[in-house]
This record gives sequence, C-alpha cells and structure tokens, in this order.
Amino acid sequence: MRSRHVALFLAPSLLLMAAVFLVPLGQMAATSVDGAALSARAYEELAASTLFRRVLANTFEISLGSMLATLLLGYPIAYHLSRVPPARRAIYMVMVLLPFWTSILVKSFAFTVILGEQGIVNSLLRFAFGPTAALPLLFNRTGAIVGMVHYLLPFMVFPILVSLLAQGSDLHKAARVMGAGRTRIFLRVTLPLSLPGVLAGCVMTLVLSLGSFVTPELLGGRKDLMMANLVDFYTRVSLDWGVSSAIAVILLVLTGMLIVALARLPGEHKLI
Amino acid sequence: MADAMVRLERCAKHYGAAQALFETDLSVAAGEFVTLLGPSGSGKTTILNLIAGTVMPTAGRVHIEGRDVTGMPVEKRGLGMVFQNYALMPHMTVFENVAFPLRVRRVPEAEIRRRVGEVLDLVRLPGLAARKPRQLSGGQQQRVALARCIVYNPPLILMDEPLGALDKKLREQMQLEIRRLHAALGVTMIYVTHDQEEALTMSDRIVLLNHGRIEQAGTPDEIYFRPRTVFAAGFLGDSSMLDATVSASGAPGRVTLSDGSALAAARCDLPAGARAKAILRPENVSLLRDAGTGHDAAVEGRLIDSIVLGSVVKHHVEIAGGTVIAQELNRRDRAAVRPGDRVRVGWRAEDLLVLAAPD
Repeated sequence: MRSRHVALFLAPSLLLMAAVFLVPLGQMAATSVDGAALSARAYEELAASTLFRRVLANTFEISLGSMLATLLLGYPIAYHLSRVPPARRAIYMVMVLLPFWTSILVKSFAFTVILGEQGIVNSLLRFAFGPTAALPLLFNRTGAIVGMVHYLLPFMVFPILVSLLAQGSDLHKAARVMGAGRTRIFLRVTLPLSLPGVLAGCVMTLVLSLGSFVTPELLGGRKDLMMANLVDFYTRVSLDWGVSSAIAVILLVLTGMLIVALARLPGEHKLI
Repeated sequence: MADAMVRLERCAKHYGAAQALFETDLSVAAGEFVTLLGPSGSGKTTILNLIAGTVMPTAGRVHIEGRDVTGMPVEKRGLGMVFQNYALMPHMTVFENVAFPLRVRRVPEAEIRRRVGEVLDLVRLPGLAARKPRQLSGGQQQRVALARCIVYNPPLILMDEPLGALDKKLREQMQLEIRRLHAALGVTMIYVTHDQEEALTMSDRIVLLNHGRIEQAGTPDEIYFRPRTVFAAGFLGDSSMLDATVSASGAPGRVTLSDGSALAAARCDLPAGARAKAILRPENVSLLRDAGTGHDAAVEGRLIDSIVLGSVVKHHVEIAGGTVIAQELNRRDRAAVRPGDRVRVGWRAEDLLVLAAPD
C-alpha cells in the first residue's frame, strides 16, 4: 500500500527525468563511441591530446580552488548566521541569496566593472598606493575564481547553516558549564557536528564548479579553459560531436567518482 | 550566613516588559538538596540560570561559596549542570563525553581513564564506555549526563527537570538514584521540577514558585501540612477547597459556609468577615458510616462519585461551599455507597485549614 503510493507520487518526476535527462544522456554516451560502431576513436584522441589534459587539470584546479575559497568564506558567514536572532537571520539570508537570484551573465559583467583595469578595486588601489599599484584581477585565474566563489557561496552557506542550527543550544551551554572556553567549544563541539554540512556544501559546490561554463568564459583568461568550454569548442567550432560527447562522459564519470570518494570520507555522519 | 553554598540577594530578571523573576532572596546551605517547584513560567528555571550564569540578573547579586559571582562567566563558575534533554555530545562516545570536563581541566590521561571508570561504576553503567549516546536508552543517557557532571567534583550541581523525558517507572528509579548520589557525594543539589511528587520525594527543602515569586519555602512536611497560601495548598497534594467566610478569628476559629453551617478550625489567622477557603486534605476526611467518633465535624452531603485508585478509594461528596474528597483504604469488605446517596463526612478541627481566598 505504502510503496504503491510512493511510486505514484514519484512517477511524474521520474518520467520527466527519464525523458529530458536520461535519454539525452544515453544518446550522448552513444555518440561518444560513434553509436553502434563502438569506436574508441574519440577517447584515443583525447588521451593523446595535450590540450585536453591541460584543460582537465585546469578544471580540477579551478574547481577545488573555488570550493576551498567558498568554504573559507562561507563557514564564517554560516557560523554568524547561526548565532544571530531569527529575525535578523532572515534579513542576512536574503543578502546571501541575492547573488542567487541574479542572472549569471549580469553578475559576470558586473565583475568586469569591479575587477577590471579601470575597475573599482584597482581605482581604489591606485588612489591609496600610487599609479602603479593596480593588480591583474580580470581575465585570469583570479577573476575566474572570484566569479565562481560569488556564484557558489549560497550552496556552501546553507548546508553548513542547517547543520549548525541543528545543534541544540544546550550542547554549548553544557560545554560552557563544564568549563570549556569558546575555542575549545568550537573545535570540539561546533566544528565536528557541522562536518556533515561542510561535506554536503563541498560536494555541491564542487559538482557545480566542475561543470561551470559562463564564468570562466567571461572572467577567466585564455589559459583558464574548463571542460564545459572545451565541450562547447568541439560542438560548435570543430563540429566533432564524438569528441565533445567523450569529454562530457569523462567529466561525468570523474565527478561521480569524486562525489563517492568525498561521501565515503571517514566520519560520524555519512552522506551515502 | 557564612556556610551558604548559594545566596541570591534581591535578584530580579525581566525581559523587556515581561518580569520572569521579581526581587527574590534565596539561600541554599552546603550539602542541601533544594527543589525549585512551580508551574511553567513561575521563574524556577530563571533562578537556576541565574545561578549557572547563563542569564544575568537585571538587579541583585549572586553569591556562590561566599564569592560574588554576578558578573562571572558560566565557564569560570565551576558548577555542574544536568539538562532535561541530557545535552550529551552526539559525536563522542560515552567515555569521551564523561572525559570532556576533565580534558578541559587538563587532567593527565591515566587519571582521566581511572576517574571516568569510577564514575561510570558509580552511576551503574560499566561496560558502555565505547557506545555513542544514541545507542543508549533515555535512562542510560541521563546516567551518562550525571556521570559527566559528578566526574569533576563540582561543589554544586544544578538540575533542570532532568527526569522530565523519562517514563514514570524509570523516573521513580532515577529519583532514588539521584538521592543516593546526593547522600554519597555530599554535594549541594538544586533541582528544578514542576512535578510535586518528585519534589516531595527528593528534597530536603522545597522552594515553591508562582508568577516569578517565591510562594513558600520549607521542608516537604512544612509545605504539605502548613501551606501558607491557597496556591501552595493546591499545588502540593490533593486538597478540597470550600468557599467560606471567617466568623471567628483566633484559636480556635470558626468559618461559615454558604448555607450558614459553621465549621470549627483549630486556628484561624484571618480577621472575622474575611472571605476564605476552608481546605481539607482527602486523607484527613472520612466517610462516616455510623455515629462516628473522634471527629469534630460531621457534615451531610450527596455522594457524586467514588473513584478507586488501587490501594485507596476517593469519595467525592458535595456539601455547601464545594466538594469534599474523603479518602479511605480500599478494602474488600468496604461498605458499598452509590452516587446520589446521602452520606456524612467528618474530620478533626486541626485538619481544617483556613487560608485567605485569592482575589
């Protein structure tokens, strides 16, 4: 009875996913091996390609870098949000969500205004430290990571915030009564109990950044090509759909392996 | 008072316009077991938090062991506290939970091992040190919380409804367990509960609170037998309350019920003419089957219902001014009375308590 109901409620979304996600995914996998020919040509080409290996390395460097930067910026935000009264928390949450509601194109162009040669940051630096004080912030790795972090922040803040709010305030009170100072409470109680949220946030931001396309395209330099940009190149410029499908399959498999590895990290609360 | 463990000096606490605690003085002697009893919102948890230091008083001073600790942060006060939801660290084993306060105090590892083992034996939980809290029952978790509290020998242990989440049987067992620990360790305990039976069972002294004020403080017997207010009489134990008017003040005194019948009271401190409640405990009222001797009062009324509670039977009898409950032992040969019967109830004059009727 119960399981039949569950199936009934899940059916629409499962059908939709099958039609618009699984079928195209299968088609893509088939294209990568040239359909029924089962040719490994595309994969062999990629294995021999220096460009592909460079882009693969780029993709993981930028993604892991963005994930770490997002974690370092996001944790303090989540920690602060968890400690303010609920009314004020609601206001701050809107501020965290604001970039979330803004088109990624608009955000990227806004960053060219902020980070560019004549941008706000560099104008301030020149004003403060003289005309030679400008920093290269745009069309390079810094620009790409700044843009990615800005986009990813809500995905890190919210899972961590949830795991921080789930900790009863009595735990902190109990630890204080037993004589523990703030640092010890944070390191021994708050932080370990928030790790599931940290892990969820890391997986989410990593997956999102591995597949990112617009931000590295608009804010990164020529050397900051990522997998998605390479797929675009093979699809639209060199029109080699076999290779572009193979890249997508490799990205999918590597991402899947990374998620499984992260989720199996030793710890109290398993994700899967 | 030189040997007071805790002394609140005119402490008050309000949150904005809401007064959680009106100006209150309270002193707890070293080694005492004091219960703060009252309904929710009566200020009992506020007092506990003022002593713990998690809440700062709006006015007044808090002294612990003779030192003024009013501005001292929680972690410097060196107290123990047990919570209703146990507040065990879910990611730590039982051993690590109990070792936590010792690690804070930088106790050597070998001594931690020894002391944790000792207290786990003391709370009768040997062999569970490697478990996580969620693998334990509620009663076991509360024992771990107790162990974690007594392992660092705090001179004062605060308990905030520690047994509230347990079922009745387990609660009664843990009450005795906590009493045993209190006696064995000689520690001062301040215990918050809204359960009057728990307060009567466990306390050396009960502090009864209502609406942010101390209603009455005293030994369980004092509060049970000599309640000073109608609230105290109603909150502890069962009471029958009759509307009455004082007709003679002093000892002996006299009150008049609504139908004009007079009842004698051993003493009455209210002035003649005052509106009062005449209060009788069920165990002091008998259902009179014959001429009945040894009673100073015998009033006729109508039996509403008889309720059998296992070892005792409670007869609800309607008389002028209200309903009186007469309690008797449940014996196989007790005479049958039916609802609607005319019956007589009797009591001794010293068991009739006259207290001012609340406004």
